[in-house]
Formats: sequence, structure tokens, C-alpha cells
Amino acid sequence: MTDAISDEFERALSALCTDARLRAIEGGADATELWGEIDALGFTDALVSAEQGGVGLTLADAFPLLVAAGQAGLNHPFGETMVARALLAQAGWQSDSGCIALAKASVAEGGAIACSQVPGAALATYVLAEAGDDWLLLPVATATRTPGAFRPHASASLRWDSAAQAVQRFVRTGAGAEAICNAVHAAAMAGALARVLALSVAYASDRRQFGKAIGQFQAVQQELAVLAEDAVSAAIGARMGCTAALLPDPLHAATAKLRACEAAARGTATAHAVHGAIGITEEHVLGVFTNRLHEWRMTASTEGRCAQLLGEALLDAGDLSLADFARTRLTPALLASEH
Amino acid sequence: MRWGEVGAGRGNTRDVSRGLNPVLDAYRPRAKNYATQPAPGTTPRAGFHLPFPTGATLNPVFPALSLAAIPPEDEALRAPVRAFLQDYLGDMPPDLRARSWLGFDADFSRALARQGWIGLTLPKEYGGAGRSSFARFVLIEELLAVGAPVTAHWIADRQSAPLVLRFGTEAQRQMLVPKIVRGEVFVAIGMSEPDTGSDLASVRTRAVRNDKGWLLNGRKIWTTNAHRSHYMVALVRTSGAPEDRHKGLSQVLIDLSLPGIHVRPIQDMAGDAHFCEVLFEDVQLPPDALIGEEGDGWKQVTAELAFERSGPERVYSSIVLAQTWLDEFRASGSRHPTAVAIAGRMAGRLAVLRSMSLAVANKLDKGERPDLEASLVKDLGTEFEQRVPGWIAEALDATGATPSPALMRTLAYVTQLSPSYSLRGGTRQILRGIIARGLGLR
Repeated sequence: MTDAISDEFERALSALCTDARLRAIEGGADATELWGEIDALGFTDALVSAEQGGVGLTLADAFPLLVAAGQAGLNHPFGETMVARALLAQAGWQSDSGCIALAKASVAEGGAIACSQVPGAALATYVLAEAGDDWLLLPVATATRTPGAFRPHASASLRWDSAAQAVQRFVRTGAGAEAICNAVHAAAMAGALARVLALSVAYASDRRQFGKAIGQFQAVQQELAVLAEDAVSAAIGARMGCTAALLPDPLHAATAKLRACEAAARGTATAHAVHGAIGITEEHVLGVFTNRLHEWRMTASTEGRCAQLLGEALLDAGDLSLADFARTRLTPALLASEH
Repeated sequence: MRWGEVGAGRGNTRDVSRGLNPVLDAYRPRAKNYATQPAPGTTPRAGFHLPFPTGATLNPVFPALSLAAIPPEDEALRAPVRAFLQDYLGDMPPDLRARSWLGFDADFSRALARQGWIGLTLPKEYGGAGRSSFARFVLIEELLAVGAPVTAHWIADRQSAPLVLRFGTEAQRQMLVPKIVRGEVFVAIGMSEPDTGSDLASVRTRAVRNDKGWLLNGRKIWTTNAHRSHYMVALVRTSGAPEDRHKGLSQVLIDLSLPGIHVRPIQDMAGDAHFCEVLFEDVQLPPDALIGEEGDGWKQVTAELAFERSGPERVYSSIVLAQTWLDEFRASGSRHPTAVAIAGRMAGRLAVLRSMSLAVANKLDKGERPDLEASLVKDLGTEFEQRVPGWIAEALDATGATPSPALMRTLAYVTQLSPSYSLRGGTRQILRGIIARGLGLR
């Protein structure tokens, strides 16, 4: 999963996303400076074509960056910004350095546009919202905002009076917000689970009770082994979900998100069990990651919705067997660049 | 490389010639490198990749399993195998096919051999097809998906032949491997004993050198197919005492027709008798019964277990049950949301597990030893296998459907035997211990 690019990015993130800084931003501190530093690294436009000032990576190639951002705990919707910038560049939008959240919108009868519980929206300049058959780039500043349930200072539910407030509007071709969010959130969750595993193993190795490290007790070892299984399977699932040129296949993305949700449910519980009381303090950084995982689990598509989506697709697939469906519809063919 | 110097200019006015970032500029074409590189200041652990330096005393990691693709020439094996199985197995009922790789049919094994589908990865000079691990993956997937009765040749093909090829003498290889490939010789594994389960190093069956070779005394149990195999590969003590544990163990090839061998099949809860207790009373083995070096038994059995643990059969044991239910659910025309979600959950989990299993096959093909990754995939895979009967029962409850007698028998069988999925080939707790060691906790 690693290569030269993600190594560089990981090193940079490690320096920028200190535990104290992550916690401060989740607690309401200003996040614009951090975003400026992240954006200045140059990775945010990696999916934008070279002709338009980017690097022209595929989503598959950029996958390690998405994982790295999740692993670092970067507060902003990084993966969403990467995909949004690529779509907007194709639509001719002149990019600024703004952070962009991404969500499906509901359109009310009177024309009001609403996006509910959007991860990282309070830290973003824009939301790229799927409304009907269009994408709307809407400024966060002009929205009526309600704090997010899990991350009140970082996430938000937003409402605009009308689509006219959009600064850019273009027709949606291809996968929509749900598929994009499934893929990028699964990747970020894989990163977060890796971090949660690392924190838990480190804690179990440091914390001593009954004369030895708690990680030397078989009960703890067995639980952490399961956490490792969950982290690895989430990473593989996320990798499958992101195997695309730009827009993910909706079924691959749902497969990825489903695994990530199942893994996160069990993994967060294990991590907190191992950390004991200190794990649920604001002071310890574990909560930043588990909270993030909980929020992503509750963001479309949720676990249940993914299962339903996959089940409907299976039933719509004629008499394709379960094994063949999993093998041919839920498993991507690797892109040429990966051979 | 100073990537912080990109500057504040954005949009189309950016100096593209300078590039965003020297690392990204050097990225085209895609540098294909899935080799694990340790992050600076960290120590690489065999088989693991170190992601994020946490600054803590330990850098826990997880294995780098990367997606693999089946080469077209190996994928091409799927259609002829599937056609053969459709012809041969015809109306074999689902509850029998649900026995999966414990189903016994010597004629089937020989028919498969005539197709050249036993010993697919074994070298041509011993009768094998010399194909890749991917070819074998495709073949095994197809066999498991329909629940083909492969058990007669399964163990020999999967691990005994590779073991003898790796550690045996040329004479042993010539004697055994071609016959295995032809489906003429079936082999059982002699590891567990009445007092030896997970603690394999505690075996007490003993082979003592005498003027005619080795004199064997002891007992093996849970020996799959001992009553219908020609040979057993057994882990025995050849020197020292049980307290020496891993030292003084060897592997021997036992002709099961020799005098002094008593095999008693043991019936399982579902009424099948696939495993046995085997008693050895002064069994005289020839001198060339020893496989490999005397005293290398532990090293050899560890390698053998890696073969045993790394295949896709640790994911597909319940697939016949799932498919049988799906067929009836589809035929009912129902779209009950609980059942639909269960179908989706099974499909999604299966896809990810399969990709993980394929990644392990990829490592095997490259000559690596993915023992850790195989343990991880086996534990997750058997967890999935064991959840399937509960999901099917839940789906049936929710829809209020009347399942066919065949589906009910299949559900009953898998429900009863599913605890064995996480016992055979290494128990869950042992595998998790292996993973914990890989995390640096032991």
C-alpha cells in the first residue's frame, strides 16, 4: 500500500497534524492555517488533470493519500476535496484553495437545498452538493448551519435558500455523492483504524498492571488480533472501493463502506476497552479517531444501506450466483497502471 | 525535495512547468512498488509494513496485503472446470455438497486427475501441471463454490505432495507424487493425538530406530480420512523426551496397510465419519519412511501448516448453504428488506475476503511465506463461514418462507458442523496468538 508519494505525505501530515492540534480544532480552534499548510503540499490537486494544473492521478493511485489523511486524523474533508476539485476542474471552475465537503442534498418544494450531517463541512469553504441531476458548489458561509452531532465544531448540517446561491453548477454524469463518499470515507476509515490499532498496541505495551504490560495478557492479545484483522480487511475493502479512474463504481464503493463500517464498529469498541478510562477523555487522542469513525459510519451510505444496496443489486442480477456476483460485480479489475 | 515551496498562486496561473511537487512530478509513470519499505526510524518486521510513526515505544503494524489480479491464462481455467463439474455432479443434492471439501468420492478424484486437475502447481517432472498459484486458486474456487466432493485427494494435493517435494528424497518424490497427481494415492495427516491438540510439540507417538528401519508406537486422532487413505504423514518423536518439545521431532511416511495399524472411524454429530483414531502397535516402518532430516519435524510441519492454512477453502465452506437459500429466495419473488440486506452483507463480506485470499495466493506465487497473512485471512474467513447459518435462519424467519426440506437439511448440517471451521487447521485462539506475535505483543 505504501510508495514514495504516500511516504512524503505521511511525513508531512505527521508534522502538521499533532495530537494537540487535532484536538484543538475538534474543540473549535481555527482550522484555516492547517488547511493552508495541507493544501500547499500540493497533493490536493492530484486528481485534477495535468492540463488543468493537477497531476492527473487516478483515484486508485491516490488511494494511499486518502488513507494517510485518515491515519493522520486530518480534520478536514480531504478526500472529498480531491474528488471535488477534479470534477470542478472538468466543469471549468477556476480553483481557489478552498476546502470542499461533499454530500447529497435534498431539495425542498420551495427550492431550499439541505445537506444533513456533512463530515467536516464546518471546516470547509464549500460543499459540492448533488441536487437532482446537477452538482452545485455552495459556499458554506451563506448557509444556515446546525452543528454536527458527533463533531459540533467540524461538521454541520447546512441549508441554503435556493440553488441560485451556488457559485458553480454543472450536470452530473456518472456516480453521485453517495458512491464518492462511500469510497473516500472507506479509505479514510481504513487509515483511522490503522491509527486506532497503532494506538491500542502502543498503549497495551506501555500500560502495566499486575506486574506486566497489559498487552502480555492473552485476553488483550486476542482482542487486538481481531482489531488487526478488522483494520487489514477494511484497508483491502477500501482499496477495492477506490479502484477507479476518478468516480468509483457504486457497488465497489458500497462493498468498501460496508466492510469499513463493520470493522469500525468492532474496532472502536476494542480500542476503548484496551485503553480503559483514559481512552474516553478529551485529553487522549484516541477519541478523535473513534469519534471520526462513528461519524463516518453514520454518514451515507450507512452500513444497513450498503447491505441493502448490495442485496438489491444481487437480486437484480438474474441468476448470477452469490460467488460469481461477489467475484465479478463487487471486485474491481485492476487498472492498467497497477500491473 | 522541498514540497512546501509550491507557493500561494492557485488556479490556471500556476506555473505548471515547475510542477506541484518534485515527488509527484517523478510519479509518472506510476512507480509500481508494492514492496514494503520501512518508515524512517522504524524497524521492519517480516511480512509487515509500518505505516505511521506514532512516536510510541512500539510501532505496531498490519500486513501489507495488496490487491492481485488473476492472469488471463489462469482465469481461462474457470470455464472448463465449471462445465466439467456441472456435467459430473449433476443432481448432487445441496446437503451433500454442503460437506464441501469433506465430501469423499474416489471416482470423482480420479476423474479430476484425468483432467489434469490434481497437482496443478506441482512440477511437470513429477506429473504436475507446473501452473501458478492463481491457476490453483481458480480451480479451488470453482470446486468449493459447488461443494464438489474433493476430500479423497485434497490433503495430498494441498500439502503432502508439496511437503515431500520440498523435504523428501528424490526416491520418495518419485514414488509418491506422480501417484498423487493421478488420483491413485490418498494421504492423511497425522498430527493431533488424544493428549495433543493445539500444543503440537507435545506429541508422544514415537518412532525408534531398529535394524529394519523404524518401530512406530503411539496414537493419532482426528485424522481425516485415515480409514480411506493409502498413506499418512505423521509428526512423531524420534529422539529425546516430551520435555524437549520442538527438538527431537520428525516426520514419517506411513503405509497404512502395514500390520499393527488399527483405524477406527469416529462419527460426527451429523452422522458422517470422516475423521479417525489410529493406533500404532509395533508398526515396522522401512528406513526410508523418514521424510527430511531426523529432528527437523517441527520446522517441516510448520511449513506444511502454511500450505494448509493459505487456501480459499477457509472462506467458502458455507457457500452451498448460502447459494441454496438464495435460489429459493429469488424464486419466491420476495424483496423483504431483512433478507435483502442479509444477501448483500454476505456478498460484500465474501468479495473482500476473496480479495484477501487472492492476495495471499499472490504472495505464494512470488515465493513468499505469508504465514501471518494466511492466519489473518483464515480467522476472518472462518468467522464469515460461521455467521452464514445464523444469517440464513434470520432471513427465513423474517420472510416467513417455508424452506424446502433440502434447504433445511443443508442449514442443519452447516449449523451443526460450523464450530469445526475455526478448529481445524489451527484453532481461532492459536491463530490470534500468531497475529498478536506479529503485532509485537508476544
